[in-house]
Amino acid sequence: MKFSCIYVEREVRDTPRVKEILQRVSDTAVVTIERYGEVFNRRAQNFRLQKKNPALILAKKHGNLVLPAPPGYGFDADASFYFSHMYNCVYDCRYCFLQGMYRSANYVLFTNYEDFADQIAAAGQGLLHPVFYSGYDCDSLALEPVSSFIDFFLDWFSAQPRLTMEIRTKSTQVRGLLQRQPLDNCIVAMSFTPQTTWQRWERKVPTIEKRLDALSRLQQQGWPIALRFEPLIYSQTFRQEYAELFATVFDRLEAADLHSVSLGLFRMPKKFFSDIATLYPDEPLFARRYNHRDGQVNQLPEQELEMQNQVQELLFRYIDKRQYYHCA
Amino acid sequence: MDASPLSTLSSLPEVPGVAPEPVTGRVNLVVALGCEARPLIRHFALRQQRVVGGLRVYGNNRGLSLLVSGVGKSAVAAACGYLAGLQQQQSAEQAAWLNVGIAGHGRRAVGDGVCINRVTDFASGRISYPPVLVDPGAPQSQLVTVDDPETVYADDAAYDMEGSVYLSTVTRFVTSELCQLFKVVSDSPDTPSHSVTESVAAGLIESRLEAIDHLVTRLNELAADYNAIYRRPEEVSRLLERFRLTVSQQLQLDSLCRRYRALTGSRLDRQLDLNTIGSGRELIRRIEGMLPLL
Ligand code: SF4
Repeated sequence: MKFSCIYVEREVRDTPRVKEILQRVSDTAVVTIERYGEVFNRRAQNFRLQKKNPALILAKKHGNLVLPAPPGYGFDADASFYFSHMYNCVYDCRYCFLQGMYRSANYVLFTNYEDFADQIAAAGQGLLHPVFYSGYDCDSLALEPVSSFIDFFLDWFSAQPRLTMEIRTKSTQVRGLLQRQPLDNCIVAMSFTPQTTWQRWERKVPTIEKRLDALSRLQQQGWPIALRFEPLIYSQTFRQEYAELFATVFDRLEAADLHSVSLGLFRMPKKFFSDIATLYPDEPLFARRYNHRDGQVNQLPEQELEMQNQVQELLFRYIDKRQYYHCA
Repeated sequence: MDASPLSTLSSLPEVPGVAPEPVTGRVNLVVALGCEARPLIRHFALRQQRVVGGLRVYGNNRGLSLLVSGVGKSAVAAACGYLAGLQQQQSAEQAAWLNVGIAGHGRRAVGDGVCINRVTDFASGRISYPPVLVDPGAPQSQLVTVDDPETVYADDAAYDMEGSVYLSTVTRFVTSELCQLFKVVSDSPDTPSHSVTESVAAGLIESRLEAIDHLVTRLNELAADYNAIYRRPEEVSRLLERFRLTVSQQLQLDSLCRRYRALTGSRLDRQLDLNTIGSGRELIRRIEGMLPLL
């Protein structure tokens, strides 16, 4: 993996983990900084241009590292939380809300994994089966060869059977998982959209075939796997596209063994949407008509309803309804 | 670097009586000294376009401009502000900027070329991080901008007298990704700056022309990409000539024209019968009705 430059916070520069990471990318220039915000939040940045050659920022995350998951996010659980060890993603999905959330396309990797683990333990205290979602502000696995993040957390969660982690990803970097015993409380949740959406809007994301290949190997080895069909983006041919996608997916995976399957519509906060639309004035996805309501941008209600119902109906040809949830 | 023995303009070719031409370069090269400019002028086949109060601007017809700013922070601030302002008046297109110059360095050898990834203004302590989006294959380095010629070279950094202000001035006009710095090491703890004559400085820049050329080419592409994305659609200007719109209607029109283009791939004004539209408000309403759903 190549970065234009690596910025390292002075506070973590001499930690063993950062030293290891720097060894993995030893041919890249390293600059010491005080706080990641100096680089990440500076003025006069263009996310779109930066995405052509992002830098890596190694930092320590302070404050609340584990937060309650937004209502409707994820499957039924005792309580749900999310944590982000990283901001931004090595992939470039045009519909991704991160483009509107951050001014910079540089990757921030928070290397104080132990602090995350401590806060996860604290958040889970007294709860029966809490779930912790990773990959909310990034892709959980895509930077694994550099970060070894999942490696650390698989070790940690293996000793915490009461706590569940969902590893949300579009990456095929599953070698680390395949090299160890499956953990019942670590679910690999892979996101899919139809082939046309992938071609049009998911730059650098591995092909559907490659992702299925990775998932299928994980499933065969006994890892709990989940499917996330999102975002559902309306098109006139969506029914056909989803019919084909489901046929392909369920041909490769054992549907009955899936941990869970979800659908999620394309929507985002209005502020993010308008910033992304400004960044990509030439992108048809943001030029369409949307429904702007309560600070949210949604697809038109009739499109949402039609799509939600029809895709759900197609999906239920393959899975049991008890495996399903709708992601708000 | 010790800039004092080198003069800003003495070694530049005089081109008397050249009429000012529009300066609309997509890449602006900024150098402090005439001797730094000389190899660049030759290499990029630049001609003098303007002389304003001792400031010289050179250019070619491929969108490249070169500005000889003079030495020191106030000189570079004035020069960059002048060129950016001038170009803004003449065109809405954004240019990329590249500061090229000789510099002292605490660790690197004389002749090395470096891309700058961190700039410290020694006097104020202010630090900036120019994104190194374009990689010319040269190593990266930090830069410290000092007020007086550097003699100690304490850090593993390049030393100049303009970089920090070049950066802060230019990023008031363009996004930071379009603003880079490239330095060629001229002096170091072992090779003091008083040995750097004009011909040595010119020779050092000359020796790194390949990297500079690469940077200019890539920055030019970047600026072209940027302008292709963000320039105001032609039809907006055309419609604005015809209709009186409030500022907020102008913004709406801009956004609607872009959306129409994005969705249909074609210009919206070609689909409108302008003679049947009586007011700005009606224009906006008509266009809104023309936007396809998907
Ligand atoms: S994989 Fe997910 S996080 Fe990464 S760019 Fe795509 S949508 Fe965003």
